Formats: sequence, structure tokens, C-alpha cells
Amino acid sequence: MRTRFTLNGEPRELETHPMRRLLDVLREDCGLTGTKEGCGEGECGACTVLVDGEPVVSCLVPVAQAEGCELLTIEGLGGDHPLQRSMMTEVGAQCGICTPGVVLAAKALVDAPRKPTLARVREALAGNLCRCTGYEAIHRAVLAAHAERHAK
Amino acid sequence: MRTSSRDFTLRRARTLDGALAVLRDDPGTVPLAGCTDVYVALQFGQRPGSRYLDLTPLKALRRITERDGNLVIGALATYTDLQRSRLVRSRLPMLVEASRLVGGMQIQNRGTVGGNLANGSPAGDTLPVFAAAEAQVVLQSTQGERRVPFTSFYTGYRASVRRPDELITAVEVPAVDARQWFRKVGTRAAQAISKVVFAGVRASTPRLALGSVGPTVVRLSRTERVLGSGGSLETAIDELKLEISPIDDLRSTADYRREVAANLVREFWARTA
Amino acid sequence: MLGSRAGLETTPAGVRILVANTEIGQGTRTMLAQIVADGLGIPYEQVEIAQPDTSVVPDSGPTVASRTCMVVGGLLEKCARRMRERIGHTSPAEYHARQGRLHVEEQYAAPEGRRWSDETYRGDAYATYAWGCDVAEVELDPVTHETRVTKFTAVQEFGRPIHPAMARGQIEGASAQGMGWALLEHVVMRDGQMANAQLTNYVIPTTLDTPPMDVVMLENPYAGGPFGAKGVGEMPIDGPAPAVVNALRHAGLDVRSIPATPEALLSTPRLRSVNGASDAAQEDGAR
Repeated sequence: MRTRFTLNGEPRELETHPMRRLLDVLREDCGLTGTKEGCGEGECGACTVLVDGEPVVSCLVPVAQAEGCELLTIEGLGGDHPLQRSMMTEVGAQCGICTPGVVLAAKALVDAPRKPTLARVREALAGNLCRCTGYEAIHRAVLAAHAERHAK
Repeated sequence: MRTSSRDFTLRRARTLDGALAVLRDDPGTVPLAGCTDVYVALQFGQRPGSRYLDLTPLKALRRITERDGNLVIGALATYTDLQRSRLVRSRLPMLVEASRLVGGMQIQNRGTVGGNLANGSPAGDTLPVFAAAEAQVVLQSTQGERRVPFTSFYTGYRASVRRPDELITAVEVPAVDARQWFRKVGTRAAQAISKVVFAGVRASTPRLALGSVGPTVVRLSRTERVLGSGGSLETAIDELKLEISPIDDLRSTADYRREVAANLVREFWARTA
Repeated sequence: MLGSRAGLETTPAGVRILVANTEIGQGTRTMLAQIVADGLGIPYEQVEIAQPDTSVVPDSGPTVASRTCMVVGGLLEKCARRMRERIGHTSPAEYHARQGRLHVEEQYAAPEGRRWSDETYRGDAYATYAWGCDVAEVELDPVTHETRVTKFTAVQEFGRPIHPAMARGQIEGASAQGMGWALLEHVVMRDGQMANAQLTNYVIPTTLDTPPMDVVMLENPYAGGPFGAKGVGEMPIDGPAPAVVNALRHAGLDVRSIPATPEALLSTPRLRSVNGASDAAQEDGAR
């Protein structure tokens, strides 16, 4: 089946089985391996991408459902989003498998003008498991990125 | 994914009539939407079906409206939609609470009310809410529409009165004019599968429902009768223990579920007094 | 382990570290590069690290026992100092351009007075140890028997941290794992296999399960480690579960095993009084 979507701002069209996981199409057909497979069962959030601005786990999305959607993967952030920088300075990444998903799940909080509370940060990231950091450095990174992004 | 997608076909519904025609002509077709159950099953090497019908293009089924005093929740409304809906927030706060605790944000953005009903897991988080709220399930087929009281929708473990040619299109919830209380017990604070899940409405005859304590969600009608007729709380708890049939499984134990189910009823009674 | 070796060589851009230790997110590469940069007095950017391919790097011993920083980092510090003596005040890159590749290697030797045999594997494998103390504050839900850690304090003494932000991350991460072990993580075995080997059924803490953590790194430079460092990788996972269990005992529950799941706590005997310490001592026959 032909499927069309916008990927990181670029229109894409590809021929593939409609039930393939969006995760596999992104990694194998589009060559964007920043999206990671952690569990494949929707538990860990490592494969989080934004579909029309909303975070979803791409391991549970048939590619047919991406038809006509705007997709954003970690590659689409270009490496210079304040949250990507603060994840480095605060050491929010250790092994790094959860990191792309964490960044995309928290992006909306960082971009919104309103300063998130720590409780809100925890809630927004409850779908992203991290085994390395104990989450503390990730929380610090999100709050620091928000401060940087909205500094006068 | 452990199951190859090549073994499957997926059709996309363009209209509701078209979708119903597919189900009539090929009743083995499995409807899917958020895929938060179907794709997990595929990952575990199970095959919920080989022919699938994608309902997500049917945007009209995602609406949440008010009709004839009922809250009408389209089957494709996601858990995020439920949390954002003013109607649901004001009329059925216990459903908002249940939605907030389903998976993480990524699952809430995808999982749907219709999927939670159709999957019929005894641990489904919204199911006790619909049981306690006396909801009706709206089923459509090419032959027309029918409404089934939620409490008679399930016939056994993951089995319901829905015929293979029927589609769950909505849930209708009458006005709830008494205090509502919801509590999910999953031990982990997020992303948990319920070990016990409770919803209650403190009406003159209270309405109580529990999940994960039997093959289907359980409406505690005998416990309700004791409480509604002025019986003591502990007499009601004795009745409760006869009404549920929890088991030991990977996630918890029958003893724990029985004990916590009783505690939840006590807690509900104290908090809504 | 006494045979562990580490090497350093000059390159057109600076130096390359030759060790077998593997980066898996714990910060090995960063920390070793810092040690070498400081040892040579050159910018961090001029230090690269060879892939740990055994055709290229010497046997540096295993990545175990939190030894990489103290032992391998210590060898690299020696390599850097020796290289500096050889090249004087020129930079490694300049030296490389003029004189060609310079390679130095160091082999571990036990500190004086310590006995260890690689043949019999007897003796004192390590010259020193790190120390830690954890404090857990918990809340018990009487309705569900669920425990929440509401506040966690970890005090660790591991010499002098080479990279404090990364060391803090090691402590926080290990603490979260330790708390998960204490309360949630239950391996269910059936017929010799793990029956709950899915993230759905083997539950690890989420952002809503871990408490705010206070991390204190007590600096106490160790003369035998690079720039005063010991190791921090594993130690912080040891304390959290005992701390959580002791907090539960303080709350009156005679917990004797972990994970202290709510199912387990349901049938856990109550201590005779809720004044944990004295009662616990009595239970243990310590009085």
C-alpha cells in the first residue's frame, strides 16, 4: 500500500505493508535509527515519536495510520533543541536508549511558556522508562531547558 | 514485532456504513483503532485475527456529546480526549481519573474507550466506571442499532454479547447525581496493569464495581443491596467476598485482591459518607 | 587483575587512550579522558579513545567491581605523567609531528603491603573500599499495603569524584534500581524460566515511583587513586533496599525479604511495638 506522510518537515511517500509498525518503517525504510525499540509492547516509551504533535509509541502504530500525518522523530529536532543541550549538560542520558523518547515526550513541556512543576514533569514522563538515571537528572534537564527556552 | 505483518491484511474504513458492510461480509474481521491491545498481542506472538479493519478514519466516532440527558462517548474517543473533555470532567470525574491512570501519555493518546470495551480484559480500567455508572453500550450493524446495558454486556472472560458483525460505536452514560469514587491499585504509580480497580457511586442504593477480581468486571449487586438497605458495612464486606472470585496470577495473589477489594469498599464508604 | 595494563599513544591530534574497558553509559570514556587530559595538561578535546578491540588495546582487566576509575584510571594517570616526562613542554601533537608515535604502557602493581595471588585468587583483591549511607523515608498505605518512598538521601564517600555530575547520576540511578528491587521487582520463576520477562509484568520504577533524592558526595581524596578517586559504579545499589526495609520495620512490619511487595506485606508479621530499633534487635536475638 502507498502511504504518504510528512516526516520531520519533508513530504514522504512509500510503498509498504499497511500493518508494519511505524517504528520499523522509520528505522528500516526511512533510515532514521534515532527512534529506539525498547520493549515492543508499549511499556517503555523508547520508540516515542510525535504524530500531529502528540507523543505516541511507534511500536504500536500500524504505518497505515500515519497516512496524512505530520511525524516528528528525534532527527527532526536537529540536535540543537534546548532540551537536547540540557540533557547533555545535566547528564540526563547514560546508556541513551530512552533518551530520544524522553526528549520527544518532554518537548511540549519545554516549549510551552508556562513553567512546569516537578510533579507535571514526572507525570509527562511516566510513560518513559529509564533504568540508568533514576530520572533525577532528566527532571533537572527538562526544567533547565524550559528556563533557557523562555529566558528573557 | 514477533509476528510478521505479511500474514495479515488491513483495510481502512472510509465510512461507518462501509465498515459495517465489511463486518457483515467477513465477520472474522477484527476492528482496530489505537492498537494498544492488538499490537501488544502481536508482539507476544498471539494472533487476535488475520484480517483487520482500521476504524481511525471514522472521525465522527471520536466525538463526546450530550444527548437526551446522556453523556455519549464515541467509541474512538481516546483516554486523552476523555481527560480534556469538559463534559466528561463535569459529569463523570471518575472516568477522567481512570483515563489518567491508563498507561503513560503515549498510550492515553492512542487507546480508545471502544477498544477497552471490546478487548474486555477483566483489568480494563474504564470498565468498573461504566458498570457503576449504569452505562449502555451502543452496538451497530447493517441491520441497525441496539443498546445493551453495560452490566449484561460481558458473558465471560473476554467474551461479550457483541456479534461479530456488530461494531461498538458509543457508550451512553446517564446522569450520575451522587458522589463518585475511583481507585486503581497497581502498585507501580504509573504504567501499571490493575491488580484491583474500583469504581463506586454513592446513590441511595449505592453502585459498586470491581475489576481484576473475576473473569469479567463485577458489579457488586448483593453488596449494594446490603448497603442500600441499611445493613452494616462489615455484613456488606462478607457479601462482597462471596461475589468476587480473584485468582493468583503473575501480577498478584487472590488473597491480596480479596483483602484490598474489601478495603476499597470500606474506603469508598468512608470517603463518600 | 594484577596484570591489568593500560596504554597511551600520541596521534597527530593529541593522544589516544588504549584500554579494554567498555563504555555502556556509565561515563568511562569521559572520565578516563579527563584523567589523561589533566595528567598531560592538555585540553580534553585532544584526547581520543580507541575502540576496545583486543587487536588494538591491551588487557585492562574486566569492567567489574567499580575498579575502572581507580585501577585503570590510575594506570592512565601514570601513563600520562610518564608521557609528559618524555615529551617535556611540547604538546603531544607537536611531539608526534616531530618525533613520530610515542607509546607508553603501565601495568598494575599491588600497593605495598597488600597480598593477592592471581594464581590462587586469594588475598585482598582491592586496596581500598568506598563507603555509603542511605536514608529512606516511606509511607505505607493501609488500604492497599503499598509502600512509597517519599524521600531518599544517599551519602557516598568514594574518594574524589572525577566528574561530579556523572558520579551523581551513578548514585541516583543505582538508588532508583535499589528501591525498585526493594519494593517492586519480583522475578517469577515457572519451570526454571522467568515467567514475567516482559516490562508489562516485571515492573521497574517510573518517574512517579522514584522519590526526590538528596545526594551527598563526601570528598575524601584517596592517595592510591587517580586524582584522589575511588570507584562509585556499583556501591550505591547496595544500601537502598536495606534502608527501605529498615524503614518498614520502623513502621512495625517484620520484613525479612525483598521485594517487599504489597502481597508480601499483607502476610508480614507485625513487630510487637512500632518502635523499630529496639524491637528489631530483640527479634534478632541481639539482646
